[in-house]
Amino acid sequence: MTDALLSVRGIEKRFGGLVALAGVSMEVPKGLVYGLIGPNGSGKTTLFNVVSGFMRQDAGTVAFEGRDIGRASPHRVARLGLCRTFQATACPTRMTVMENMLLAPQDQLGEGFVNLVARPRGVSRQERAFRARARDLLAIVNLAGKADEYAGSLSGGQKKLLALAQILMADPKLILLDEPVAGVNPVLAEEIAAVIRKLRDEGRNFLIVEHNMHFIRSSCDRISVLDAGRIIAEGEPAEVLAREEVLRAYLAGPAARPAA
Amino acid sequence: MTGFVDFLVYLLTIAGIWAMLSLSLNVQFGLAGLVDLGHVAFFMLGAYVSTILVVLNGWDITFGILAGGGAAAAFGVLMALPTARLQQDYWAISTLAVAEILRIFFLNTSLDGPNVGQALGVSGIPRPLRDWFNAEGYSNAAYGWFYLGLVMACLLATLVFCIWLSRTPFARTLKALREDDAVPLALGKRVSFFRIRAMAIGGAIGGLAGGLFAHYNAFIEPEYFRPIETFLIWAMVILGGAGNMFGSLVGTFLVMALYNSSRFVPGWLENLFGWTINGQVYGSLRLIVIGIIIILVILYLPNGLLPERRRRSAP
Repeated sequence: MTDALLSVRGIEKRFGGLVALAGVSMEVPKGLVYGLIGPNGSGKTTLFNVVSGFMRQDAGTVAFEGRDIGRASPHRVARLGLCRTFQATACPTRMTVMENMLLAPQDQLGEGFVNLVARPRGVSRQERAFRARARDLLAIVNLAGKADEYAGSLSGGQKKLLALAQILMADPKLILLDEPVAGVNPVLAEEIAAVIRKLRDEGRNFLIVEHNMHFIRSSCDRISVLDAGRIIAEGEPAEVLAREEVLRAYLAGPAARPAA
Repeated sequence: MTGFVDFLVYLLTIAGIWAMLSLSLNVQFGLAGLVDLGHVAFFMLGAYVSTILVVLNGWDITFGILAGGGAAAAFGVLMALPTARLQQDYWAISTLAVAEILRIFFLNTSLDGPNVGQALGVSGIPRPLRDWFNAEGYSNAAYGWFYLGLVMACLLATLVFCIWLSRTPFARTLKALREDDAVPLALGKRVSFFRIRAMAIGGAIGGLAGGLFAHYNAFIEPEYFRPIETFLIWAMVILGGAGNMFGSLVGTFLVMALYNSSRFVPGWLENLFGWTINGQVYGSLRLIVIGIIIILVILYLPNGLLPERRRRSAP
């Protein structure tokens, strides 16, 4: 076994007659920001859904830290340390930013009644620690002043930042970000890229789906290109994005390409 | 005048029991977003289980009421199990059906010989400490005050519990489930287990309210537990404000006042304005009035009279 953090082998997924993933294999090594790009409909989000347990593949295996997670439920996958965000920002809107942050940690004493009744001090000590960490993370993403606002009142870009901070609060080993800067203004996008690079240097691992090539270039160490359900290229962003087949995949529709 | 006071004591006692029901639905719907359209099932189960255990099996009343709450909690767990597979709206419809099935079950089950249970209901349900009050020579009115105190104590305990509950990390995760499962799932929450516990807690409180009702009214029959009762509980929660426990009290007070106003308002109208209004017509009108008020509140105060409070984080 390699020391790949996430290893995907021969994933196939069909929706009726539509082949969304036609045998995808890729490895995400430790210590990198790994990008997954591809034109609309190439299967990126479907792959995310399969990896994170929200969808079941028709064939193929998914291994996280050498452990098979191909049939695990979403909450099991998350508890193993692989957490994801969503393309459509979905942080609960009728909870404050701080409540959203405090929602994220796993193994909360206060989620069980035995602890709530038998160890109230332990629960409040843990809550204090979570709150302190949430404040630090909110400061990193420039949301410290919004802690008591409803998440629903944030701008689109701020919601993306909240989703990022929330996922960090869960302290996962691998973070899957689904379009973290879609609809975000360029200045904020660059800030998000900087935050991600900083977190990588602190030892976090990322797998990112994104359409913004500028963002991909500035934040990813390595990328894979998905087209029509297959990986067609892999390598360093600058080199891969210059390849002819990648350009063709993006510029021409699937119909204009030679049959895959 | 004493008749009026006695009636007010009776009304407050019933309102207290309904406030417990409204709080229990607020845990399920206000905190967890569960559209439970069969909430009266818990009330019914608490009432029947306690009655059966006390009347037919000779249990102590306290244990009977507690067992009723326990049975209703277990029923809540059963009702929550399909939430893992059914989508919200389909689940909501199934809860309505479940409550009706339970009522029809009691309507068709004879409990002890041919004259107990079924449509005849169960009469002669013992009331707590009633014999003692008789032996000491206290009046019926004194007993009414005693039971009002008992119900208010239970209501206060329920209110304190629900407020405490709504501030726990457990309730925080429940609130996240109100909007969508995806984020809580992606954060590693076992959403089904959270829903099961929310239904069990709401069920237990509803069951206790049922026991209190049965041993106060001394008689129960399936007719008491029609779907309309569930909708009145919903009216209380929506008017008061889902997610706000004090809102449930306000909503209960409003709905109970409107619902029982048919006993007073026609007389007042007659005395003050000389209008005569048929009592039965007014009885039907009050439901229309409640319906109109709900529509107005949903249109203009969608979060209810007392909206859910924003939780501020202490610095």
